[in-house]
Amino acid sequence: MSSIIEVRGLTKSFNEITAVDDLSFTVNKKEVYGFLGQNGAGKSTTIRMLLSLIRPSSGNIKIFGLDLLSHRKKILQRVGAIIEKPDLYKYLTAVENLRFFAAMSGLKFDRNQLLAKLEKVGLLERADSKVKTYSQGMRQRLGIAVALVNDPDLIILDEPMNGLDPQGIADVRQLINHLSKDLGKTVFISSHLLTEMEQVADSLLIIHKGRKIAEGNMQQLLNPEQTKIEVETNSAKDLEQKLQQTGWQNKIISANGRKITMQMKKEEIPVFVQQMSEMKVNIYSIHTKNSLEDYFLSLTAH
Amino acid sequence: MISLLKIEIFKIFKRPRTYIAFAVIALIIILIQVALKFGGEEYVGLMLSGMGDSFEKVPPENILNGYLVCFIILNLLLIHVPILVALVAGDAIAGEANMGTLRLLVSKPVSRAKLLFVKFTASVIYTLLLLIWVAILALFVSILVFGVNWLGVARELEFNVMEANDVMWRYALAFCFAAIGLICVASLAFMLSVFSDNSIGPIVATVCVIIVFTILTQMQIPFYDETIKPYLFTTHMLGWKGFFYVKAVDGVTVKGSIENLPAVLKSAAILVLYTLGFLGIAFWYFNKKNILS
Repeated sequence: MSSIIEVRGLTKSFNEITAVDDLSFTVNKKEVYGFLGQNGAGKSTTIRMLLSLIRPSSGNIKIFGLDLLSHRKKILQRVGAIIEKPDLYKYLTAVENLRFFAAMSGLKFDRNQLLAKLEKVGLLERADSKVKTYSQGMRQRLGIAVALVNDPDLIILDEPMNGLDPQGIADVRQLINHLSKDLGKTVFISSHLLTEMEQVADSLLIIHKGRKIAEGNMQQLLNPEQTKIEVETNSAKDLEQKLQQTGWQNKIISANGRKITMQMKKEEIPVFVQQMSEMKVNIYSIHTKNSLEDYFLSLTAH
Repeated sequence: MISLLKIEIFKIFKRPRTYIAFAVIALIIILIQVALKFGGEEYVGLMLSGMGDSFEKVPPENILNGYLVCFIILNLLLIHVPILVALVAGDAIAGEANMGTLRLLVSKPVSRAKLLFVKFTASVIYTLLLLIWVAILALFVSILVFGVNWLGVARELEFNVMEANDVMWRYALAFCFAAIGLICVASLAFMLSVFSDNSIGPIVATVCVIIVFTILTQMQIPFYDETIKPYLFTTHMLGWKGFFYVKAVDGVTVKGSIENLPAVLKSAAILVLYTLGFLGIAFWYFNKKNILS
């Protein structure tokens, strides 16, 4: 698999503060690469360096195999991006915004072509409305249309789900999957919505205080050994007593009120459910809690 | 480049604030024209009061014509137009940063220098359109309303008279000179705009610089005449008046003459140098600026 982004030893300091510290990672072609970190971890600084908005203090960025500093224009012709919230020209219409940003990429589209692009993000009916009349979700969709206007090979999305309602989030998730799986685009996405990241990303990079603390594909990072489940029953105390009789007691993490949290291998879950059923334990619900969130919090707790 | 420039100009003229400057200029010029139409004789009398009896027999309507009205308007207005120029030039980069669109612009495959060049060129075009608007209202409308005759320009110790057919070319050059002066102001506001992420800052800063420099320029203190005034761009912005100061032989104006052309050209050159200096700083800083807004 060929690499699209290669970052080596990337560091950025603002006076005394090191925002990004010796960061290295590789993003492969057609991959949805998730970029995780708490607020202030250095995500936006890294993304801005990838887009040449900020000059690195040291380190090297290669995109499409080319050095970013010396081939900036050539690289950016093949990149589309949303950086934080997509602030567009509020006093212009969607068509005017799209035409302007297409021109910035050296492209010229007629009105019908622009309308077709707006149709893809569901803004056809509001194509001639000024952006100041748009909702946050509509602005986000227009931002995506702007990011895709030059048909980029690499799409960089910084918190693309910020401010979106559940339907908007689902639409963006679907779009990312479409871009990656159907169109073969490479997507580099940062988000603090861990559950969303879990659903769209193939690989993950987690940074904390500017430094990489984990990297790998989702399966590697979310170890099945670590699967947590939350069981809802009549009484957690009663269930805890029954579990002690059956040898599951060492899997218990906590028991409170009607809920009991356990940790076990993924393949043990159906065995557990079957045994509970045979023991006629009233189980109202079971949720797996083995999530990216747990993993993320365990890494960034210190 | 041309398509980017077209869109940049389109963006400027899509904003209501752009038209405020045109409306303000129209309002001021019309107010001056109305005042001179109905109270012009008194104004002319006041203007000639220090000139002895040479002009006593001249009918005031001969003196108060379109050319003089335009000169009066420019005298009053050209010191204030820079403020209106700052509204757009000061907003050029800082306004984008404020709106959050700067990061999107800089992440596009256009060099920062080209982006800055397009933005500055758009500001210059706006400035020139504003000046053409001034010319249309102040010169051509005044000619229509007041007619043409010889132009008399009062100075501290003398009164320069130019025949009617010796005036228009002077206005053409004066407006060209004013364009150089206003572009200099635009470049100052533009430079300050590059340093800021909020357009109010560069606009206010430009206006403050112009006010302070203008006060210093007009201050009649001999100490400043040689130490500070020659270095202020506002001093040289008044150079357009030089086209209306004429040579005279035996009290008779030499047609087509300019009293001190080298001084006018020197002022123009200094304004150009200031412009290049402001732009040089703007390009240097913007090229290395971290876009954090």
